[in-house]
Amino acid sequence: MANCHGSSNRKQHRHRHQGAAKAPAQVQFSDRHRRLVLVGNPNVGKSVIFNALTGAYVTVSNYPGTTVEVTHGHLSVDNVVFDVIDTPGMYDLIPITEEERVTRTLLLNERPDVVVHVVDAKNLDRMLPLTLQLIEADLPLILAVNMLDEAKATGLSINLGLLESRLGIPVVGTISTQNVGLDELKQAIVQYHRSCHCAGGASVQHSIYDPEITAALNQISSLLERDYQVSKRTIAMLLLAGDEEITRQIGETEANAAEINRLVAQTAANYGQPLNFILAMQRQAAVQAIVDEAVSETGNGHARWVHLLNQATINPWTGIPLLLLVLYFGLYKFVGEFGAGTIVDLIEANMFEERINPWVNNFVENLIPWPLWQNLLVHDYGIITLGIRYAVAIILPIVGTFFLAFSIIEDSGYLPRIALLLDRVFKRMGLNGRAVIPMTLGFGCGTMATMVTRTLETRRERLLATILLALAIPCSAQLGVILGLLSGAPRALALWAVLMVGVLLLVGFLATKVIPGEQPGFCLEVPPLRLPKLSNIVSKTLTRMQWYFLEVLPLFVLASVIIWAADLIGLFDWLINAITPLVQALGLPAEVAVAFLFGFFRRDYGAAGLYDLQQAGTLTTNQLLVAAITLTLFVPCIAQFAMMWKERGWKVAVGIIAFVIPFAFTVGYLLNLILTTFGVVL
Amino acid sequence: MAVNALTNTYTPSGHFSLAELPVHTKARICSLADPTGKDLQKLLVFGLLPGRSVEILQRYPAIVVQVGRTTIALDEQVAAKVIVKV
Ligand SMILES: Nc1nc2c(ncn2[C@@H]2O[C@H](COP(=O)(O)OP(=O)(O)OP(=O)(O)O)[C@@H](O)[C@H]2O)c(=O)[nH]1
Repeated sequence: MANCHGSSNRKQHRHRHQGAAKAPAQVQFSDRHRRLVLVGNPNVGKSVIFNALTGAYVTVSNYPGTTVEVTHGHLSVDNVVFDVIDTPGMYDLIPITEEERVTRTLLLNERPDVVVHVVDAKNLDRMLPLTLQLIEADLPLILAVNMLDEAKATGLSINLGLLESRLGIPVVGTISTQNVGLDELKQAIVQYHRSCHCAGGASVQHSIYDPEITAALNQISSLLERDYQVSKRTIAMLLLAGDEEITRQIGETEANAAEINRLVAQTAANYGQPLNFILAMQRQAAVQAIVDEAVSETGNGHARWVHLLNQATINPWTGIPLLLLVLYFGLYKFVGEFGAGTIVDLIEANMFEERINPWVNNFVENLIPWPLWQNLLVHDYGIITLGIRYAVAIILPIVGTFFLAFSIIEDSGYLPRIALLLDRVFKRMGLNGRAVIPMTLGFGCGTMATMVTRTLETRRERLLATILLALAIPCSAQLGVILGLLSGAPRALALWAVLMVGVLLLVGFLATKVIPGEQPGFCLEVPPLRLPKLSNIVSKTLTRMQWYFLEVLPLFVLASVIIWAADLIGLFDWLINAITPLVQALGLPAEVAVAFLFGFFRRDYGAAGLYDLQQAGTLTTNQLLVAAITLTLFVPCIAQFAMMWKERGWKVAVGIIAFVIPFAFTVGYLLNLILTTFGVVL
Repeated sequence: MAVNALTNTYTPSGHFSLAELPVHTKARICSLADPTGKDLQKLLVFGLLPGRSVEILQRYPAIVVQVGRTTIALDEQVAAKVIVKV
């Protein structure tokens, strides 16, 4: 009864799990609840299904020991409560990126009660090999064949019953965006647990590989002595495929490791090609046999205009102008003008300046008689009047509009198209098209983007992307304020943009020369263009905003407190005095030193400080440009620094800072020098 | 243009890498050159496997191919590893 996971069995497993000498990190599951894990390729509709199963109350947390996000929620059906986890997309049990590794660790170590594998009905031949791997692993599996509407539109008809009997696991057809099949999926989930599905999953897994591989799998399995959370056959398969992590782990923990390695080497020697390739080919053949039976083509119903639009987005002659249009409307008009302009004015000027600040100042002054403590809360640098005001009135509208625009672009399937259009540009910077996701996200929040560099394949790429994010990619809050600052001076704004792109390319180019390493190839799926789904966009935007706000608000409060304390003991004045000459060397008035100092707490904080100065009319356009450039290049905010530290280690983080600060000031200095020498007045 | 340079060596029955094919060519994958490392893993998961038919949709700025119902973008480095027969 390979597929049975009765409750007594489960307790033993958990017990053993905790008793193990080196217990792997665990997600914080509540013990009372059953665990349901959603897995599948990227872009198959996992998030939509997750939202439909769990409703509104979702938390996003980092997987222990990593910064990869795992989304949790609750599903309750017939009084049974499940902890539902949405995992980062994965293609295969052998991971390519860190994110995929997290999903695998979760599957291999956590013993979920039910695993739902979500697949795209259009591409069953490509998706089912993972299903076979999951069946092989003895995971309690349900297959959700999603996007049946798209499959039908392209002329495919799928026999789900046949699929179910061939695979020996429950199969549910869904169209998650139209709420079709989700009730059946819920039922399958509860029933899975209650009735313990013991169909012929076992039979399919014994016909996947050829006799020689099957024999090797059996032999290796019988040599494995420890207990595993998944089948020994899967461990054996991963060993044959040459998975580094598992091979190392087995080498350290299994008594028969030497014998196992010998078997692996012997099997490999019998095939002319690497075993992971052979294994994949055999799984593919097994899948093809199933798909040939279960899927039939009933003609091709692709709409002509969809095809044309698709072409237009990837052809460089039409694609690049389209991309510029998307950036212009999405970033400049929507985030820059609407978010950073209209909404900020509304909240900042109409609410805070006119109503909240005077009222709060007054209230606190009456409540607390000592000016010292009043200053902690209100007045120039107070927690409420500075910290919370900046966070709520200036930053939140900007990142909010950015995340909204980003979610729409993401959900429509447009991001991979940007990736393929810009692949060659990214290659110049030692990256490839894949980097488009962290890099564009960097225009939203550099901290989040630094975290998302996890989706890049090599250490070198992650390092390069981290450097560029720290230096030359302004986050949306900063961008918004800078657009606001320079909007009155279009020439300065253009110059700023040109300089930033130049610095980005130059530093990227130089960094590839300094940091050696191989460049991984670019290969990416281009999903069909889809009409974004409102609820999906809203939930993605809100999740990101929640993350941002929780991360940002405490920092703003902290920054206010530090500034207050530093002001109190005179440290603040001392620091300002210390950097004033630097600032003056850039041809800027001394007041700008304050904005720069704030900038260390958050880049946007500094930019917002400049905004105040500009409002007061203290800066010329030349000075604004120099200040804006220096500040954009300047240190990433404290949170991004912390994330760099966490992700890349302290040496790299400190190294980047040591490069970025002098670099920013040098560029500012040179710019000022050039402007003054040639008498340019912007 | 890359395609013109290639037409010299282009023979309908020959074997080529995916990186060498002109736009709109249809071909069948026969093998994967140098099938090691991460590039191979990528080809496998995207379904660029021996036996599958591919069509080149576009060559620049990235090579775009259709395999079954999947559209895949790849660069020359990866495409060079896919050996096809026209
Ligand atoms: N037509 C159709 N579109 C769908 C269906 N399910 C999801 N989508 C769309 O497919 C896209 C991807 O869905 P997501 O839920 O974000 O996919 P995901 O698997 O979570 O992707 P990642 O977040 O990249 O891992 C979105 O634009 C959805 O609206 C479906 O059943 N039919």
